[in-house]
Amino acid sequence: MHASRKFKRAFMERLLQSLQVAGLTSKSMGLRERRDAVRLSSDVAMALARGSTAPWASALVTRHAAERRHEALMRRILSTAGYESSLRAAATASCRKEIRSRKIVRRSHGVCSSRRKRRSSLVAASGSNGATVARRMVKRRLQLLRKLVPGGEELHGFSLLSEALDYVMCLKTQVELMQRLCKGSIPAASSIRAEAAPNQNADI
Amino acid sequence: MSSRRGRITDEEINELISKLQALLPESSRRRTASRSSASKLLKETCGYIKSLHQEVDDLSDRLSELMSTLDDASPQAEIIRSLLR
Repeated sequence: MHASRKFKRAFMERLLQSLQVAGLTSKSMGLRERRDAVRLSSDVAMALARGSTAPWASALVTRHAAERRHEALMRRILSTAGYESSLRAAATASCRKEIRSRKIVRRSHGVCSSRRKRRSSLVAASGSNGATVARRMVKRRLQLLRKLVPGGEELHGFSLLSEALDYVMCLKTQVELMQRLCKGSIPAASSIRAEAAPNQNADI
Repeated sequence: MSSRRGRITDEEINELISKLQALLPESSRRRTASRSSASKLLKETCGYIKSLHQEVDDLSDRLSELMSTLDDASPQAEIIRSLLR
């Protein structure tokens, strides 16, 4: 399975645009600041090229917009309208997260003590059940996956897996495109642009 | 979209799992192919995402270094500069 040419093209275009406005050639930029700007440009380019139909893409933009220090660059990459709506989304997301963690804390106060009693009696009775262990492993790993995929906290089961699939495919493209830029290969980078209009001659 | 119309079929699940397995790097595919389990697949996927994140970080480092040297007369710098024009 490969990412579509259309996606790669849009991604590369936006990436180059973002790198341009990021002012990375300025000598006054610190090492870390420069690296963050590149990472941000790349992530946002990927998310925008993918489009808001993928929850992970919106979540990724929201995540970057939520950081104050990214404001200047984000404003340059997104339109003002785009940036402000991302800020609103970020505010909603953090509200939801806080409510969720408060619920979890409240719930676990009651559950933990009863679960401990239940578990000790179960273990005493049947010894550790293989299927239960496997299920617990799956649950734990799903939790981990949820943290790795942007916006994953809101997703469950099938949706989480299909989002993860989509995300992995785009991540692979991200690596591929950035590698091409690093190698500084004109044919590779500009051919991605040229694939937009296969009838035109690719100027190298 | 966490709500889906109708139940998700076994076929859809299997398709998703095989697509996911197809994306994972060769080495892990060989290992999991015979005794594929949900847990193993998830573990490989999580590990793969983490390694991709790491690669992007490293590439960001390299790319930012490259961009900082754009004043150079080096051919690589000229290439990047021309792409950004």
